[in-house]
Amino acid sequence: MDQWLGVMVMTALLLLLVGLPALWIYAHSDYVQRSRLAPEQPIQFSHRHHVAEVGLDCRYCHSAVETGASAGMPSSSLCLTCHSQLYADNDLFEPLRRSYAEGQPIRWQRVYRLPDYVYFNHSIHVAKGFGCVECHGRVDQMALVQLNQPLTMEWCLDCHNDPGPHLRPQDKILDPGWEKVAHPELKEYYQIRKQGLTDCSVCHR
Amino acid sequence: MLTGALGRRTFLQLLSGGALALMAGCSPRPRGELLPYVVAPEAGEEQQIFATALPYLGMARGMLVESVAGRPIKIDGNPSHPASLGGSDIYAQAALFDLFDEKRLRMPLRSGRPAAFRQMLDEVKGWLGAGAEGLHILTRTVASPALQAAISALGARWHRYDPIWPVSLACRRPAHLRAPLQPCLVAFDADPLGMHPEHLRLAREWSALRPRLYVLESTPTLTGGRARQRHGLPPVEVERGLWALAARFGMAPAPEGEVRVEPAWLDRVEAELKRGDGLLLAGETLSPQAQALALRLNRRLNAPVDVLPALDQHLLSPNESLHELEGALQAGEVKVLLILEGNPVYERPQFANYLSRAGLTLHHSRVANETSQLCHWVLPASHELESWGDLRAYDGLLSLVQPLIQPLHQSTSGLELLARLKGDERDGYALIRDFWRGRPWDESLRRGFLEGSHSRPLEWSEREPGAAPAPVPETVLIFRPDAGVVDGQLAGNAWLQECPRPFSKLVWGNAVQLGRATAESLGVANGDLLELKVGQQSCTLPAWVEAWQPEGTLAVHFGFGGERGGYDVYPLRAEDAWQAAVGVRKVEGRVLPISTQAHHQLDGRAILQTEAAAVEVDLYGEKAPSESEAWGMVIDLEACIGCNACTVACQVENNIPTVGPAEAARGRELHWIRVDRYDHGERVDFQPVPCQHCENAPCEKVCPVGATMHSHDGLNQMVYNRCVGTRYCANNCPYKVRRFNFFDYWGRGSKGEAPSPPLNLGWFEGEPKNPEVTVRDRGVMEKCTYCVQRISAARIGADKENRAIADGEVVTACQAACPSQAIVFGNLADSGSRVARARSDRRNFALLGELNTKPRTTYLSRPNEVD
Amino acid sequence: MKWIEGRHTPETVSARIAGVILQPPHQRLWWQLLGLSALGVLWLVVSIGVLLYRGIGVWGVNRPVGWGLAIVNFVWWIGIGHAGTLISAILLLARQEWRTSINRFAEAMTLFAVCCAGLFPLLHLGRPWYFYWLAPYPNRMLLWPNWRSPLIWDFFAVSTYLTVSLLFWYLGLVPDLAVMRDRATSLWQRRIYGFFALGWRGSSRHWSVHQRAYLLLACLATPLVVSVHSIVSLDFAAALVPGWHSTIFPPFFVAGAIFSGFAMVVTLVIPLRYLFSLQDFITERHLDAMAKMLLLTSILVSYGYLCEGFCAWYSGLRPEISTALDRFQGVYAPIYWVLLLGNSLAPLCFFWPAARRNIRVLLVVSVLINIGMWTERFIIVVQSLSHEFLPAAWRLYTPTIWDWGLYAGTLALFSFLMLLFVRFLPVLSISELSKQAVEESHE
Repeated sequence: MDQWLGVMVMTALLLLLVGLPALWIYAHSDYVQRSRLAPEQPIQFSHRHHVAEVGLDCRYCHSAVETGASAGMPSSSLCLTCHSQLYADNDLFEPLRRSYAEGQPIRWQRVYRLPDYVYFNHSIHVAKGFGCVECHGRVDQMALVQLNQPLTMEWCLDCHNDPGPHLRPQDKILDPGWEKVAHPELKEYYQIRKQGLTDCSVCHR
Repeated sequence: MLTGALGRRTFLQLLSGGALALMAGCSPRPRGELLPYVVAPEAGEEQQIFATALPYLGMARGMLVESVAGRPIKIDGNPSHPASLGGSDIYAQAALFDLFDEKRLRMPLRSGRPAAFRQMLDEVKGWLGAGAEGLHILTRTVASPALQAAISALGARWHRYDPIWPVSLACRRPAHLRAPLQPCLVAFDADPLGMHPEHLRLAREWSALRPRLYVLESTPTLTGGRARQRHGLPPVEVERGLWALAARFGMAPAPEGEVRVEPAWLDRVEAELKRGDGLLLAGETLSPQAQALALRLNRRLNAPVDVLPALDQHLLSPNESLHELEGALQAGEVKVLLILEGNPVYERPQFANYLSRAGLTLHHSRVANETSQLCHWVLPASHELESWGDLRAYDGLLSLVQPLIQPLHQSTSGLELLARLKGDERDGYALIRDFWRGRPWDESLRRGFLEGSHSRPLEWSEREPGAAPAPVPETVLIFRPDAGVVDGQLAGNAWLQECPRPFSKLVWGNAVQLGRATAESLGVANGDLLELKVGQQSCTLPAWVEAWQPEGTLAVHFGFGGERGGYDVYPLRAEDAWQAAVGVRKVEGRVLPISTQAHHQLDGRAILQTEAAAVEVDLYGEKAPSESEAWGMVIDLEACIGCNACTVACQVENNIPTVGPAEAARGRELHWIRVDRYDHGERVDFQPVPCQHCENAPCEKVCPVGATMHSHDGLNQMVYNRCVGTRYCANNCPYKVRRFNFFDYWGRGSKGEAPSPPLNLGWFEGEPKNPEVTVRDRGVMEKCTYCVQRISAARIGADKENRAIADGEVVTACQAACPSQAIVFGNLADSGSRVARARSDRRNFALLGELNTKPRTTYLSRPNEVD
Repeated sequence: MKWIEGRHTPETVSARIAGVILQPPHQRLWWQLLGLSALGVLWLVVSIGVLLYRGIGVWGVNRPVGWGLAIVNFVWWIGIGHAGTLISAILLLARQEWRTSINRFAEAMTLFAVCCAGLFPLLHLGRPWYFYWLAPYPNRMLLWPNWRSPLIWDFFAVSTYLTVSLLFWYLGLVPDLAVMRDRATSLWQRRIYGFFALGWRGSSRHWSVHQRAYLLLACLATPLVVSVHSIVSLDFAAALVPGWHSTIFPPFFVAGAIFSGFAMVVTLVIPLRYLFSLQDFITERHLDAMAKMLLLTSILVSYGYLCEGFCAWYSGLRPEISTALDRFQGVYAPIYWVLLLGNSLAPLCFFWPAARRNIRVLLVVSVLINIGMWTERFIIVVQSLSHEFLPAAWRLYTPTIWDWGLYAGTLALFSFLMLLFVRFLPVLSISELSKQAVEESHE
């Protein structure tokens, strides 16, 4: 009886002390969160080249970020504004040329994806002082786009509970290289709502 | 395992950049693809609104259609169009369904097999040769001048048949009588608020005026529901009542024999009319003589009645035209018969015998129906939302019909079809521009109608009314169009089938309505079968007891039968009569009609609260409301006519599925706002009940997972993705406004199968649902959200401009649709807003307020009539 | 006072009770009944499968009656379970010696009843695969369950009840399993019983620890008798539905639970004692005592009905009065009459001692009580929901074949488990009866 009891108690303790932290670590692991996983794309589009080297503004391609819920993806015709001239014969751009010729869209692999029951609006975030890199990371340094944020509800609530630390001056919103400095006065400047940011219906309707 | 819509993300991507997201299997993180446009469209707006016109009984009402990513998703009234004044009804709201109906014809059929359009043209040419000799065209009411011109240009003989012809026969030629509503209205079997072609405008005018309304009618109507004094009488007695009233003004000989109208009513009406601000309304189901008498009396009372020409007034009477065609068919003169829309074989069963005598028959129709089956060719017809054209309103105002989407199938509009028959290959746009040459195009297109194009009044004299009709001792059967499917053309529209009829609350079928005493004398209760015999024809239908159906009469509604569900009563109707003598007997069997409301009594409860409510003292103290935003709604029960426009508008706006007859019979219909009917003494009252968004919500307390919580601005939020479906919230809601998805009603099969499909829930997979609203999964609770998607959009817009949301910027779907503007929504914290002012009205009360739920939706009670 | 008949020693007690397992009588009957109940369990699995595949719509629930047979059965089963805990715990603390003849059996009945009951809250969820959201686990949504909801209290109450009942039952079983181990006839019997007996030697130290633990668990279980069904009753009392919103509900439900639980014990124990010849241990006096419990709780329950009616009338509120009257006048009125017959009328016969000791009367009345208590749950859940505040929303509920199928399935599951129990585990408490036999022989 004593043996049994001893064995059972030790097993239970072991399970709890080791198992629970293990579970927590697993849930927050890079594997589950798919961090730094850059999926293969039909065309190896490099943001590093186009943004840091060429100097394109985010809005050149993602043109609806200030007006719409979705930031938008560039159409094939937009890519061809340059690439009908530049690298016009390069094999890497064959999918682009074929897309235009056949009228079929390029099938990009989605990296930043929220579940369908989350209604995210880009334009209000951009208007209220959130830089692109705040959520999307240093895209200007990525050869292939990778996911760096967990995009969990917890992560969103972190900011919705207190947006202050994540704000940046209005002219720096599209500046990927801006050094993060605290600007507590920006909450007043942007007239961020005091009430209601954590209402369920803000995101879930 | 993902919940939520397949389609919602679709639109957000397509809108601003173009991408279609697809599921990619079960993985811990959602994946998917982004598909941008190949060539981006010019217009970058997320949402566009276009003005067009949609028909009801063939006549135009101006509508504004919201288009997202090139697809129409919502229809509302056009505030600047005189025929709708911004209101809409269930027919306009549900028109989207007909556009995307799965059962629509997709290609021309020759003897039931797909065939080429060209083949039809060749065949017609083969029969007719070069000219148009032997070509007959059968249409319904044609209110489109372009189409009228095309028919004339074709040189064919034009016949017309419409089972419902809402014209006045007071004068020798059919006319539209039109008058602004007066402070005193007396209606004889007239239904300006219900089935009248102009009911949207009339409802708006009535709501603004709140006239004193006196009604004599032979079957319950929405107008009767709003009356100060309403009596139900058999049709002939309604007419005799009119004569009795006219006799008091010396306009007609008094009726012989006993008149069943109560003298008190006559006295009252006479006194009212003598005040000088009265108007008589005579329904089109009255005899021409009665209509003439009413017009004469109106003229005598100096009521400002305008006589306008009927829109297709080259025809003389509803029947003559079809008789001519039948005669021509009999005589073998008809080589080619083209039937434009309509279903004459169904509406006039004996027509089938004649149809076979034509050489070649063509039916131009959206869906295949009884007539199509007997025709050689069936040609798909375009819906108004996908074709160019023009259309006149009841008063003649000419509106433009513009498409919101390219035709979904290989269909043509009527205009295009007639052009093709003449060898003209131009599309609808070219044809209508050609016809409209000389008229201001851009202006009319933007506004929706051509300024100043309404009909001019005519100086026609009325017929001789003659003497009053003799009383009819037998039981009389009254025919009426159904409030949902009208004449049967709309029977394939699931939204309309599932919209409860205002009085009976029946869905997915019809019954024979009879009064309580009549039912008792026949020994029938709801659901017992009655056999109705008119002449040689008989039909068996279930009985439905309606307290307001006059004793000695039975009412049936057409538009049902066969695949439509319900029972077809057209065979009982001879020569388009509106009533007939009938033999009734009870037969074995029982079929319970499906009704969404079983009990009409108030049971002594203060639900409608006609007395001023006592001041409430709240022992628990007030919760501090938000300082800037507190959404609230006030519903005026005096203004609500019970038309259910709010119900269908909400359904369209919020992606509410239909559940079909089997589920509706079990009480599982999903309408977020329902209109309850209560019998209240001599009155019938309607009460729309959406979620009340209680500040002290009983549902919020009991949800175990916190799927329904209160927002800072007063919304009772429903978080679908958190709901596990215990249904405790629904049990604890005293208003019973919460709806549960018992099955996967969208039938996507993602989580088990849907119940066996009811007739025609056809809805293209992934096609226009509102992308701003979640499509709910099985096992999830849903309810009215105060159109939170609209509030959200307004708030985002206002926040971007750093301003507050203005009053009137957020209009809920139900508020927008209501033709009588009974619903007001807005910010209660803004003391100048319409809703705050409505709330301070003396008549304001909270439904079930004694439960201390503190609802944000309150009602204005309908006052007891005092003079 | 002697409760055990015949001259019994611990040896004869063990032999008799172990004999039921080691030399089982009525084997063919047992197999037949097991086969039948196995079929029933299969039907249960099918019902659950259909429910999970197609949705809650296969039941008859609608708007306004969002809860139907599933919740009726849930409350019914949980109520039945209460007798076991009361017999085990409260009667132990009250030193009622007649409990020893039925406590093991009643505790097993409790466990199986709670198992059956526990199925329903899971299955009645619209999305049962998310049931774990009712548990407070740290998650990445920063969400916790809504503590104000009685369903969360239910979650804890029922899981606590299950846990404590299981522990208590097992703890009491340990010495008896040792007896079985020692009397086992085959190697595997010895091994299995031995494993679960946890090495029990019957030493005084073992007994001393055991008795203290047993008493401790009895103290833990005692408040559960009152709390669990009170919490279940709060599912209704905390809502504002007329007919639910009544302060009498917690004590009323607890009394009703004990009532139905004892009735189920009586229903099951009468064939048991006959088939296994246990009349020496479960004597007429035991039955008499149980009948007195039934009578007492019946009176309490009847008081509850009167209270409901009085409060409805006294409130002067039309919805309350209307709902109360609808019980007598509405469509469900025949069910209400069955309720009154079974719960208030039939048990009154137990005022007569002759009735209390008459096997047939006991059997009939206990079955009537169980039916009556089921109809009471039906009336409470369904009739109240069908007749609420707005007459426009009144509507009836009609159970479908899957509603009944699930219920029949749980009855079969219960029978199945009980049959396994009587075949493989000592139906009565060998150790406690042995102790009682020794004490009584000294008197």
